[in-house]
Amino acid sequence: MAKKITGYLKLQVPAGAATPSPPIGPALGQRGLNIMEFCKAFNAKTQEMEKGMPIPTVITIFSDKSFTFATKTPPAAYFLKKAAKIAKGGATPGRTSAGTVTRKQCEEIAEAKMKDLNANDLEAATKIIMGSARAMGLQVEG
Amino acid sequence: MTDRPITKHSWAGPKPTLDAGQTFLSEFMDEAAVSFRPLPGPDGLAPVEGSPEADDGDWLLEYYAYSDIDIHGVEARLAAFLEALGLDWGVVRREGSETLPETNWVQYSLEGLGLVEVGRFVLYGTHDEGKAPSSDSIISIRIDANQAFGTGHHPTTFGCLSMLDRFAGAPPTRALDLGCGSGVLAIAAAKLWGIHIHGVDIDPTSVDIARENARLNGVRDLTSFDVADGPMHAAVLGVAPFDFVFANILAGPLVEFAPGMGEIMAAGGRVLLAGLMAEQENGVRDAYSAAGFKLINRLPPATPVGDPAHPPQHPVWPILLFVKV
Repeated sequence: MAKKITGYLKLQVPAGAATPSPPIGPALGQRGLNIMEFCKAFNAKTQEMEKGMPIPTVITIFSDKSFTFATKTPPAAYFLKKAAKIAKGGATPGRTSAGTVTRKQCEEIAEAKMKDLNANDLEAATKIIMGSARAMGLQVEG
Repeated sequence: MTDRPITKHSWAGPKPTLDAGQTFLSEFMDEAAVSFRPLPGPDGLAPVEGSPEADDGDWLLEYYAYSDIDIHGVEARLAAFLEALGLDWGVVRREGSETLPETNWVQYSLEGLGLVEVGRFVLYGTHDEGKAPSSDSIISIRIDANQAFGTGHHPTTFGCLSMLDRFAGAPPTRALDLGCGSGVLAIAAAKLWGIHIHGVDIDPTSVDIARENARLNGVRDLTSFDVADGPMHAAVLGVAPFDFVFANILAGPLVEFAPGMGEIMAAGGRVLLAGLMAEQENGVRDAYSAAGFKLINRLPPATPVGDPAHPPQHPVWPILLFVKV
């Protein structure tokens, strides 16, 4: 059947636990997608994963409101928080430190997320991860 | 529903820059929801992805976030991210920020997926079960908008159903739905003619969904579905010849498949083509003429009544009916 793409939605959806709550509901609803059909299909596909882990998901929307979706590895911010052993970023980045990550950890995250980051090489990807770590209120050592 | 309102922030600009921007938002912002699509024109219509208008024109990035986030701080981080990739956030323009009203989004999304009525056919989603009119003259088909194309809400599916409804010739004996998607045309034809329809699609998910839809619509025994990438695939040749073929795909594969279509059909067989745009029509007609087909009917697209997504000025998707000579 002729698939005419009208756009894409990128969401972070908790594995096995998609619900119509914000911001998923408004983002899908405004584009006219069948929210419950998406939640049903996503939860079925991610049921084997660690429940609640944020999964970047790319939904391709077709012009008759049907869709397909692809899931990716957890977001870079999730790996950074895990590396720093914190639950959330700092409230006032740059002034108070929410935690610490090493340059080597940033490099490992960059390697794992290379294909998702649009970066040309590992050095650029590491630079992105380190910059984001600082923006989250993390200190980068090493 | 939420006590924390959601604001949609929008930016427009070149595709590569905004593509990287959506990566940043979905990788580094918590609870991110981002929409990325060709920028709609003043008439509200967006170019179809892959068309020159979409490739060369601006794209729209929309970020759904809790209203209390510091959007200027997000933009500063976005700019730094793009700089590291050698891209410039300065070429992007802010289109606006809109706080969304509290809404039952499930209900809202279903309202846009209403009944589709085409001649004798009535298509409905599970949420509209019981709302579809029923009588001996109505052929109702249950199709949900999920992971297979073909809900009836696109002018090409609508047009194919319209052509089927108007078909006045003797019913065929063996038909093929090439690029079956949700299976909607195969199901419609099986219900209309009571004959066996074989459906194939390049996408295995669509094939599974088509089988399930056939079961839900009571025509599992009249249909078969398989994965195949064109008319010369073994899953098609093993069931050929056909005296009716539907192919609602795109102009490129329709042209590519023209010689193969000639191979799998006997003289007098019909082929119904859709998915081509008006400016691609001559190329498709030439290819089928060269493969031994003659055009016998053409429909301008009929528009689903009351569907704001497809107003009458939507680019024309011709529906072509050929006979094998």
